[in-house]
Amino acid sequence: MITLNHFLVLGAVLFVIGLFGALSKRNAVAILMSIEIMLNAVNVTLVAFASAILNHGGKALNGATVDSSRLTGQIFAVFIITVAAAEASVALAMIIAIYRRRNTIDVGEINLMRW
Amino acid sequence: MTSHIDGIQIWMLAPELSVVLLGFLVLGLDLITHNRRVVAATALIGLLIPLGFTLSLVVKQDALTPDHTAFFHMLVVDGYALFFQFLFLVIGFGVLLVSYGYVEKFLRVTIGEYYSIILLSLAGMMLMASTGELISVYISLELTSIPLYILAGLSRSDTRSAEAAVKYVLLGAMSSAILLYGMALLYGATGTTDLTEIARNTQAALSSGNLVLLAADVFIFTGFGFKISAVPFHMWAPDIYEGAPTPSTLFFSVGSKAAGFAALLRVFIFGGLAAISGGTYLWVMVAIVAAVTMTLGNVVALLQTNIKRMMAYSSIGQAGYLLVGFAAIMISNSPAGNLGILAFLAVYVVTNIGAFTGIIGLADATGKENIRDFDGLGRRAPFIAAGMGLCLLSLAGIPPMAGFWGKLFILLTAWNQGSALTWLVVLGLINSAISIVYYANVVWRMFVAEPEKRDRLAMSGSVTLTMAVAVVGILALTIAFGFLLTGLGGGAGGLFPTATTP
Repeated sequence: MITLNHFLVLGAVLFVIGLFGALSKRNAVAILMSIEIMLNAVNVTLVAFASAILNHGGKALNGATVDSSRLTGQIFAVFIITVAAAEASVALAMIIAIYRRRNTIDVGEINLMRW
Repeated sequence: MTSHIDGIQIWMLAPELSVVLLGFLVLGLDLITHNRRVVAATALIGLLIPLGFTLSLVVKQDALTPDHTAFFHMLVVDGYALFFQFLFLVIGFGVLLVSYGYVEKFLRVTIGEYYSIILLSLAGMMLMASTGELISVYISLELTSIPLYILAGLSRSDTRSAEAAVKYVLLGAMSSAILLYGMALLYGATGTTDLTEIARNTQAALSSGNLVLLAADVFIFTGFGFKISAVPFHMWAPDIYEGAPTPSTLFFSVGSKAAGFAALLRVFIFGGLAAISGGTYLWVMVAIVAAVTMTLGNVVALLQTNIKRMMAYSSIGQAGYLLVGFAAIMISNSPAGNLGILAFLAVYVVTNIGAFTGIIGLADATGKENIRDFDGLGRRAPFIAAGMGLCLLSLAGIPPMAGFWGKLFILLTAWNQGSALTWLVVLGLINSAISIVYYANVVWRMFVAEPEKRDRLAMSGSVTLTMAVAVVGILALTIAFGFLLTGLGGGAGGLFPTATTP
């Protein structure tokens, strides 16, 4: 039996993997991919919560009751997917711009400015 | 709550709608006519339309929907939102005006493109203060941020600008993801994304001390911490402030920061998260972040040689003072702390516009941006130097200036919270003393140090006009600071609906 907890743990593990990748990778495109993993972890969490609230007749984690016919969690996830695509396109444009000027997308070498 | 959309609700959204339409109009006009003056004049005069809508909403507050919400609680047009709409329109006007000369000289984009990006971001900022719902908070945050990423990278001839843009977009996207994870947890804990309902549901769960709620608070604070450049999430700010074109830097330092605080306060106070923090010691985290933020910002600012980098660390220090007010809110859920933050932000915005106008003026005329390039500016461009000096002294908090009253009021609010925040107030005073050193250094260089060249600098009309507006604004705020507090009282207190209705 797969419960809400399984999905939440999956979401948390994905989020931590993404965060670790975003902080430790040196390739700008790999960092962007790690951020996408973080956003998808959020989506998993949101959809899992939404379906759990639906199955428990509108009962949230803290016991508060809401209208169980709402699909707020799923709608939130759709918005995140859409905005993430827009953000990724801007980020890739910026990465191309820096590649044209510096011939590298290694964030360790993109360091003209410090302190 | 009305179940359909009527004219009143459209009217409540009219300021933001008209800013978006103005952005498209300016972009379209730029295609048809190649006259820069026409495009710029359209944008600046066009900003009077949203201003008129905002003022009409202020005057006719009774004619709005009963609970001041529209579009099924997506939009909340209360005194707090209207204050920020007005503040952002002032920011927009200042940034558009001061960037006129700079864009032509240093950026390979047309004025219409530049102005439309700023206007779209401005609409996002205005929405950030007036959203009542987590999804719309996120959408307006991204509507603000994505144009800001583009603004950072607009100087295509400068490698530092491209570098700043890459850093900004990656760190910005990461902070959004952290913020979203907090929002997802908050949704799971309370079953809703409507801030009014969240406030109600968190009150119900207060006794059980829900750990998920606490984790959600920490993630959301972290996500907004990036936007307001609080330490330890400040690393992006100096690089991006230095690399971006200077008018864009001005827009980040006032607009992005004010919008970050607007949404942070909206989610924490209106969403009732601050109300549960007193028992959970979440305020300790905020107080420590505030202490580290102001100390690091002010101390590292002493070491800078580039004026934009110095202003970046200075703005980190100023965020620290604002967070002192936020700690006071977290500890007691009191409207006084909110009032202090709003008044401080109003003064900060006007003074920072003035200070950056001086920097843009010098960059316009000579293309230089180091602190030592300000040597003898008092003789080379007396009016710009005098106005900039006035603003820097106000930022430092020298007594009769508005900046002093803002800082005093915020620290007094924290002092009144009892012995728990006394150490933070003392630290704030020490930091204020440190900050005088680097602000006064620039003033000393402008008026005492000998310049390399003695020629008069020709300042463009837009820079002089912006400086005149900023100086008038700062003098008015200095004289009428008491009135500012009275005027803001309603807006600051109105954000606390949860304190009365459990």
